[in-house]
Amino acid sequence: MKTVSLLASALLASASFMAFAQQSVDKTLDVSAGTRVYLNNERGELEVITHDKDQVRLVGTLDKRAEDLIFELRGNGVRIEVRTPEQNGWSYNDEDGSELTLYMPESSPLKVEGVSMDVNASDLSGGTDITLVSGDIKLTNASQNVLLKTVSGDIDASQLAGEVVLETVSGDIKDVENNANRAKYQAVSGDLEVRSNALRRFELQNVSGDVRMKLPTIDDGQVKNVSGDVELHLGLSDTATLDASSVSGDLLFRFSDDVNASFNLKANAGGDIINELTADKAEESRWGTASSLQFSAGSGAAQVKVSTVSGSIEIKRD
Amino acid sequence: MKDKKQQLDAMIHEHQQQDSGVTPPADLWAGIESRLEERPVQQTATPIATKWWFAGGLSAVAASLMTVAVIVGLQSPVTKQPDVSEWYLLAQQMNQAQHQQVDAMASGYQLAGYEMTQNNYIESLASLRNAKQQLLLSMQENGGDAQMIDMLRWINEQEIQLLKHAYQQQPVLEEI
Repeated sequence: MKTVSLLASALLASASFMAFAQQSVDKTLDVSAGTRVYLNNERGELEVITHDKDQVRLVGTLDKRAEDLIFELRGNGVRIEVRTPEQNGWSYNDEDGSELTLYMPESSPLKVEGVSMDVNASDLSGGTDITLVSGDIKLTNASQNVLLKTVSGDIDASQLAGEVVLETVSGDIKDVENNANRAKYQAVSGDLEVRSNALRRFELQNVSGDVRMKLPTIDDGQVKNVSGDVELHLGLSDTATLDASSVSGDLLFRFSDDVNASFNLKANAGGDIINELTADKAEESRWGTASSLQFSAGSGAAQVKVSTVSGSIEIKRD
Repeated sequence: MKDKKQQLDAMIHEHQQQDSGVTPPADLWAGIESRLEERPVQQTATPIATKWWFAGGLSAVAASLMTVAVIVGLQSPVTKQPDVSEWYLLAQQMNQAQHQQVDAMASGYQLAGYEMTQNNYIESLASLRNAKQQLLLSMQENGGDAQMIDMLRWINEQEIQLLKHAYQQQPVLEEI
């Protein structure tokens, strides 16, 4: 009899845990303007929607493995954390993860961290910081400081403004209708596509992926590339500086406006320099393993310095 | 007249006594003379002819070496490799330090039980290491410059970051 009652207790405890693990959530907090929102969730999906109310609201279902949900106002921020047991390894099943929708004021800064989670957010004007280990990020219409980082996932961004940093390892980056003044892109093992009519300063770091950027007239550009092909469409202001270095990859620059720049191009280890802007031709070094080309186009005001090892440099008018 | 003769004799005698000078209390001349006599004996130990032979031999060897160096330099200007540049030496130092750091990191992660399993990390690391080797080779051949050193520094940074991503599994959670 005693054994039977023990078994029954265990079954009840198990059932109550399962009920909690699959439970729905709908919590709301009143906040003041500019309240920061921090959300941490291990796996699943998150959608962020902004509204006109001074409230933060979390709706959805929690991870099946969730042990606790923290949803509280702490200092000048709302902390939301779905707590799960610590687990080593990558044996996640996203279908068992949290399905959450976060409603928050448009002007509130947002910070999101997750392990295996997809995030879809839009209309954030207070700054956005999303860092994932494995998962895709989709962000539309965000301004101020935007930092999107995913180790193994894609970034799909549009209508970003302010200062933008997009980083991925083993994923593609797409950033279109970019209205930012300054942006930094870092991609490893993934392709990068950028289209902007506003970008004045950019930094590109690429490993083992192909890059295509269509930019307006810029003031400053820094490019570092390994084992990938880079194609840049851009104009140069009279004070512009463009520095590019590449190893085992081709660099193609297509200039959209009349170019007023001094060029210093250098190709090592058998790389080629193809100049279609002027009639100047590259000269081979004494040892025959390198070539270089210095010339001015127009007033020569802007500075372009490009170096490659085992890859080609091609410059032409768009 | 006799007085004059006596006066003259007295003057001569007096002059002779004054001309003898002051006699030193001790006679040192014998010692000085013996030292002066020892020097020619020492000089005869190194014959002048031998020294000239030695100097002449050295000059001949030096002249021969210079001649050989000039002839070699003139005969092989095309095959001679350019000197190793300071940039390349710096790159080598950076590479050695990086190698040690990467080895230590990998050993640490492996000791802690982490494994690098995903192929894309392995491929990207291979790309970075291959790029580094090409960069170093090019610097060895052509000298290099600040831009290439900066590229090498960046590649090394990427390698470290990629190693961290490859081994680490969860992000560090921050307090709000």
